[in-house]
Amino acid sequence: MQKEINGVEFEVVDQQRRQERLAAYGKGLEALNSDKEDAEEEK
Amino acid sequence: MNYTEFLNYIKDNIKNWLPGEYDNAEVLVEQVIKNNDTVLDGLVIKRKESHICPTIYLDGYYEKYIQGYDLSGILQAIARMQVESERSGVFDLSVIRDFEKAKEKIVCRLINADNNQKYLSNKPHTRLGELAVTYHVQIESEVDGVGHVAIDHNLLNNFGVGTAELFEIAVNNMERLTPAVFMPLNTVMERTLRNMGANNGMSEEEIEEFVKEALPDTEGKLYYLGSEDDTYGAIAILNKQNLDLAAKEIGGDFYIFLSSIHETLLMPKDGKTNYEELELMVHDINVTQVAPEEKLSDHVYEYDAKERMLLRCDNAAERKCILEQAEKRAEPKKSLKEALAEKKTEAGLGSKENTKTKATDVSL
Repeated sequence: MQKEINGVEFEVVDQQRRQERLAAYGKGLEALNSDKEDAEEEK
Repeated sequence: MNYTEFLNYIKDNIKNWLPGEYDNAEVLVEQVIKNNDTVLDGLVIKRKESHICPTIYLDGYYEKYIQGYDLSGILQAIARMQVESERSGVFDLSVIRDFEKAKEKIVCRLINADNNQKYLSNKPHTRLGELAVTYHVQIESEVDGVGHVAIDHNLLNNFGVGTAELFEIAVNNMERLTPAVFMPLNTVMERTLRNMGANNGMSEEEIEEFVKEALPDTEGKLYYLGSEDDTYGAIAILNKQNLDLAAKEIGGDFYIFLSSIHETLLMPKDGKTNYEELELMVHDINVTQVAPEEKLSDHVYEYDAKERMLLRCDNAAERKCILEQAEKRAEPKKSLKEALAEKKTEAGLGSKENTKTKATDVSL
């Protein structure tokens, strides 16, 4: 959210914040899969 | 300078950066409730001579101040925005006074109902489990692009329609006004990274290096479902056509992460990962990476491609569990369907048959 004029909201996306959020999912899944592989190897 | 001191500083000094016509203007800082009941501080500068009154939110500017931006630069940026908004802020608001015009511009957003009790208190909304659909009228401005007016109870009274009709209108408008974007997450992130690199003046070689370093490998693992303008795209999951298209591309059932109010991420079900593990990941990302006003849900959802049903995974698990229990314990006089319907009623969930009357089959 950046500004509002006479009750009309104008949204501007923070691209850096969006990128970080999306990348976190990629990294989160990588970590999850890596943990699973390690656990399987241990077995 | 703490946040309160920052607000007072801006309020007391902004006129020094504005043209003379603002000498007699009234300067206020007003608190406004936004998504997830987040309270934002808006700077309002009122001039008697002008009917245009922008609200400039200061929270983001304080973040910049903390990051090291100097105060004079911040004041200059705010003053410029005020003047530009007043000069450019001419748009046709008559559309919200005429329902026949307004209904062509009504769109909807998906937010978290539980986290928006204050925000929703004066707005008609449609509750879907933990989520809520809110309604907005698109207003076009030549300078600022597309803006929105939230529909509150007063506006709804003026329109003379009910919430059910709003839902139907908004869902029917989705494809035309807020077309969905579905593509591999890798593609979306690569585009954004390249744009960010170019905007920061990087060379082609630097951009390649930047993309290589910052792009996680999500090929075939994660897909993006959002909107063309990157805003409020999570609502796209309520259009079954989008989910069917995704199921076709992905090749079957998939998990859905409600990563923010702006987009969702889809992950093919691989049979190895359970939703509980994924919910832990989603919760962690929500806490560490998502702005409070953009958060949508800690829960993981799934789409059953064969049944064409969108379910919250913990409810889906419960449903399966109920089926198993019902098979084992069903009394002779009760059919499996009746036992299931009874359990759903106890849990406060709508039956699949009931949700079929809506534009989408949602059982959240």
